[in-house]
Amino acid sequence: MPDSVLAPGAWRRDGADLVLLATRCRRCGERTFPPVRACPRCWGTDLAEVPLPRRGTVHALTVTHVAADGIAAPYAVAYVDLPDGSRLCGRLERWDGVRPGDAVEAVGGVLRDGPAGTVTGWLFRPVGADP
Amino acid sequence: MIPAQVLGVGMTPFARRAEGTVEDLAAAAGLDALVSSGVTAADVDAVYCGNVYGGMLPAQRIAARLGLTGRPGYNLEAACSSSAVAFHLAVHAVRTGLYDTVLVLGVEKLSTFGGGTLRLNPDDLDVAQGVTMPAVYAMRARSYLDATGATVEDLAEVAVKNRGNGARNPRAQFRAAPTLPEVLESRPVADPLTLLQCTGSGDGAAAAVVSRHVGDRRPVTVTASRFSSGTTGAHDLAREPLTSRVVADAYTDAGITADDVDVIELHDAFSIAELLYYEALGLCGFGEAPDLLRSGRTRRDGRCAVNRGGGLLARGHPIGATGLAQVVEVVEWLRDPPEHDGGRADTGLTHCTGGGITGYDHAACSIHVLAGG
Repeated sequence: MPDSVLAPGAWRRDGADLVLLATRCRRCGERTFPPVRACPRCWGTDLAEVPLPRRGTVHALTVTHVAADGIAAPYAVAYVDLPDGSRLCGRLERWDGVRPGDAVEAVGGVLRDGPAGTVTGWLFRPVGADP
Repeated sequence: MIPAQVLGVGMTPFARRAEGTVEDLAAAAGLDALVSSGVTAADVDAVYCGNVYGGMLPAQRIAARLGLTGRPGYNLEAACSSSAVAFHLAVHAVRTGLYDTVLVLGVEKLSTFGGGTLRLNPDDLDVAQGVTMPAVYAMRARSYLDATGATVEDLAEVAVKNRGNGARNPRAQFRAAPTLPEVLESRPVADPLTLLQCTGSGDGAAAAVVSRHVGDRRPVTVTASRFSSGTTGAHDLAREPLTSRVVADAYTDAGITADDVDVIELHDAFSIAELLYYEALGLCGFGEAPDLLRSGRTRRDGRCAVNRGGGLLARGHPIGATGLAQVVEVVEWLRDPPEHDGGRADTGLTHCTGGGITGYDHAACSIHVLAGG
């Protein structure tokens, strides 16, 4: 399997930053991530691509102790709440001392790196943590 | 509406690695169901099969082993809810008069993958991030504990109960009855869930014959058959709205309330799930599930026995077979409840979810209510 990019339509680079993309329904205002073709709330099809807020807070997290293809254990995943009401699920770049309510931001990175190739996408970095 | 009866059921033992192919396992369970129903191949109008990983056309492959070719064979996939959906569609076909008698099958051979957590769609956004089923339930557990003040011991008590039940079920894959410390001290999988709080990978098959006809044995009628997909968006992880919504319709259809249910097989893929589903099924209020568990009401000899067969935790979880395995356990109990286990039961419920994709609370939830005559 060649190297791949996760959901290239759901994010873009903005200089050194990574911006996650959602669709916003121009009829009812609903935001949906990843981008969709029709609004799941009102079926509107007049949709605008909008950037999601880069920063959010951890809603819940878990450290998983079972390795996955191209992911060494332990690693952590979290639900992250963004200020616009979106809730995303994703990997935490670091998780030592991270608790629900802590701030994180979306950054670019390698999600999987193994014999099957790499998967590049986004993950969440605790804000204020040492790099 | 024509009442749909379960005439007979069959099930292989669930095992980490079963001898035989998908066809072998499902044909064995199917033949048991057909023989115990007293029907012949000529009586079977259609075959419904739930399966996820077994390749193309399992209904047709299995039908070839059972002399059931030359009639419709439907293949249904809804992750862990696959054979519950097959059962749901079979029930509706009988109720509407489309078919008189059908065979429903559920089968899976997860040993093909060599163990480990369930193989999810690698193109899914969450899955690519490293999200696994244990991780999803671990975050639900953490949210529930934070919201209610429940403890990791409360979670582990679910595994103690259900694995204790499994130790008495000759078809269960896991036959050990661990203590609370053994559950808590088993190796961590996804915090706060430990290994013995997670179902395991395995093989097995289950089957049922659904018919408009009433057989010679104590009749079991399907009084509710409901299925729905979940919804996307931000959900309260400490609650289970999909199950609440589906069961409300099921109780209405069956003309019962939660208090009327004598026996339940619910989708305890992980310990936390059983606590969430007690509340979602209306057995108790929010945050009260640990008290309900401690009260003994859901023990095998309790007023509402939950997962007498060991549940997914102990019976095992060959995912395509689980929905029907629940039906098998409940039908057998309604037909022949051992007196020493609490007397005659007449209302049973099965609850089976399917998930593992981005954005949903759960992707799918099937609920059936079965009434003994």
